[in-house]
Amino acid sequence: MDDIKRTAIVIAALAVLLLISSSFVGSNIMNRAIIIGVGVDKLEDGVRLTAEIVSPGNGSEQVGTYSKIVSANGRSVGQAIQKIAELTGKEASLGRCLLIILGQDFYENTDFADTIDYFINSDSFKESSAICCCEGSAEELMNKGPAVAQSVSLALTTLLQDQAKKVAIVTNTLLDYTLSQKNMLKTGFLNKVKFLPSQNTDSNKPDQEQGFFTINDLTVFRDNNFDCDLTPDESIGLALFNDKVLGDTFSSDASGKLLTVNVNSKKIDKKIKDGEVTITIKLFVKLARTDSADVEGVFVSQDKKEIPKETINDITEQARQLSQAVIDRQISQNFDLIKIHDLYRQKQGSNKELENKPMEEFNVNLKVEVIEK
Amino acid sequence: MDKNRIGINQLALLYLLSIAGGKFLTLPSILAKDVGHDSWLVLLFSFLWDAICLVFLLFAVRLNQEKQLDISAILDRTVTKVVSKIVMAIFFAIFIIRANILLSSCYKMFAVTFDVSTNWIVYVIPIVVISFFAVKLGFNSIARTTQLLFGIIFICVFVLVFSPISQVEFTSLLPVGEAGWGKILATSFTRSFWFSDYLFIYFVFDSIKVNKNRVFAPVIVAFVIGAVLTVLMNAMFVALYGDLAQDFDLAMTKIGVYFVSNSSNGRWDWLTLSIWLMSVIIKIIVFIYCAYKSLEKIFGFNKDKFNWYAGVFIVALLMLPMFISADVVLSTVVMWGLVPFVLVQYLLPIALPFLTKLALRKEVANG
Repeated sequence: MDDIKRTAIVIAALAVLLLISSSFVGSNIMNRAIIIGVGVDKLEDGVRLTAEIVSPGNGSEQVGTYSKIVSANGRSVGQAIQKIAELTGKEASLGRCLLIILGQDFYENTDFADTIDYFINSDSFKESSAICCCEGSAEELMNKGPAVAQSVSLALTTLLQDQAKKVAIVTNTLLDYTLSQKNMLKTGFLNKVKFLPSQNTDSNKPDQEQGFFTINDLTVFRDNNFDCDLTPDESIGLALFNDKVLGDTFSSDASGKLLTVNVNSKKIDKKIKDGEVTITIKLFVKLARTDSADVEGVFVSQDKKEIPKETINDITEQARQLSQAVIDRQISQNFDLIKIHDLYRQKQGSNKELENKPMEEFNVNLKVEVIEK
Repeated sequence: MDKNRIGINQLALLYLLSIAGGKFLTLPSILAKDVGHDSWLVLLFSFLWDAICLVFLLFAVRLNQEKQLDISAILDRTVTKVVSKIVMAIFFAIFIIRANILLSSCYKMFAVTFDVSTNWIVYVIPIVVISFFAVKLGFNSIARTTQLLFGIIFICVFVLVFSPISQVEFTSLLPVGEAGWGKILATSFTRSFWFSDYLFIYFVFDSIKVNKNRVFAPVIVAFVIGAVLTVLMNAMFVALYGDLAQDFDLAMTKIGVYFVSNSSNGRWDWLTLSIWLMSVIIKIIVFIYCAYKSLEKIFGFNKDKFNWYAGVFIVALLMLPMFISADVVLSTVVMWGLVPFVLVQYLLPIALPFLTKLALRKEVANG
């Protein structure tokens, strides 16, 4: 009797195991189109989505090919992604997507809140993905070849997420951008990617245009609508307000010798006192050499002082003018990229009056200090 | 040997895993919807009430060391058998609802994070089988499993919580108390259902093994660590996601996904998340165990034999999420049952030392 019972239990356990294992349906990676970057362009009635797809297991034909660019049309981004799945015969997977590029016609002439919501509200989409806009169409940009990399999405992501912080360019993640469009004046920025052609040295793709991407131009958006472009000086000035962005470079011949200094660390202090906002920017700099241009952070040992006082004064004035340019533009265009509203919100909480308070009503006092370290 | 026997250190570890196990899923977004960036304060207050109740509960555990009466025996002798059964019925409702909500969150997390789709029945059955197996083997089996897995689970919790900390701007949490202290306290009451993770202690009340009267230290330390981690994780979540926090149902998934920004890192959050999920599964097993034990105490089943009617009843109730969403349950059933739930979550532990003393006195008087 015991033996029969044991056998029955084993058979029942096997049956349950079989039932359970066959009911957990995973997706075969061979059947997935892993999208690492998407570009969105405007169509008359909808959008054209361009996706850079890494599709493993395509066999020997994939040797030497890192990714493929596929474009599809749809009334919305969701529909266009579905179309890509139809075209490729694979399930479109966006969990590894690193980059979103908005084409010029799309961002200049569309309210793209729905597109942003589509990405940010997806549970598996990384809201730490980089987001930018571009000159011309996103599809064209994604079909160009980076001169020193194999993938447009990876090259741009590295530029936006890593390199930008070392060369004094402010960037945004999808999360930061989305929050900027919901808070206070609902204004934020995106980097505008431009393509600089160079000679094509890739014998595998002789017809593809190759070159470099620049990301130092910034475009301002208000409630997911195009607002204005910043000038180069304003873009550099904005980086001065961000202590996580380093590598600002200044040149000066005030001492009679042309010297270049790098900003190695920053300290930004924002205070509200007697109804006035005081922003103090402390730049810790070092004389630029071929061997000492590294970003070193706050905790560095003291070194010998090499920068003449005249140079320090001149750089201080340059930095002050650049940062003042941002403040002036914020007032004239009524946007808030240096988060003055947020400073007040932290102190008094949010309310409708503060949310809509124009920039000209804030009294901002700017102090810039340059310290050799 | 008593198969339900649990050492005080095992109890502390299980308690710590229970605290961190369930509050990193849907609770942060619910609280963000209620009070915005002040949600961490709601947690702080809720843990404060928990701390007070826990001290009383542990005091009762210490009083009960010699005679080792079980919870129904204490209630039967002090507040009558009818009240005792009502209390057990409330416990049963709490555990079944909590198990269902956790199961629903895990189900969604599996689908979203690991891209695995399955049907509810096939997903729930293995967990129920393990839970019933734990009922059969005794609470000690859950405690030993916790001991075994604790180290690796906790490493993953630390990695998940502390990885994005450098990217969080905690000034987003200012001004403190913006939602209003009254509203924060009220939310701490209306969301109390999510707290009091010590409830399982009632069901091992007669089986806790204490070394040299050391009841308080291990459990309190576990509680403090669990509470600090949970508050920190919640603060990070609302600071990072701001106004969007209320839209993200699964906080831990989002935090895990946020940090893996670069392609070279891969999706290592899958590894840490899947290991951390074991603590949620352990918590669900504890809930199902306690739900079964509540039924056992209500109907007086034979303790040595698994009751299949009770098992089938519990399985049937765990199928409810196929028909009612967790949101509906939280906004209706949990709100209707708030007062009775609060009675057993907060009033009972405070009264328990007195009830235990009374029951022990009666025990002595009866010989």
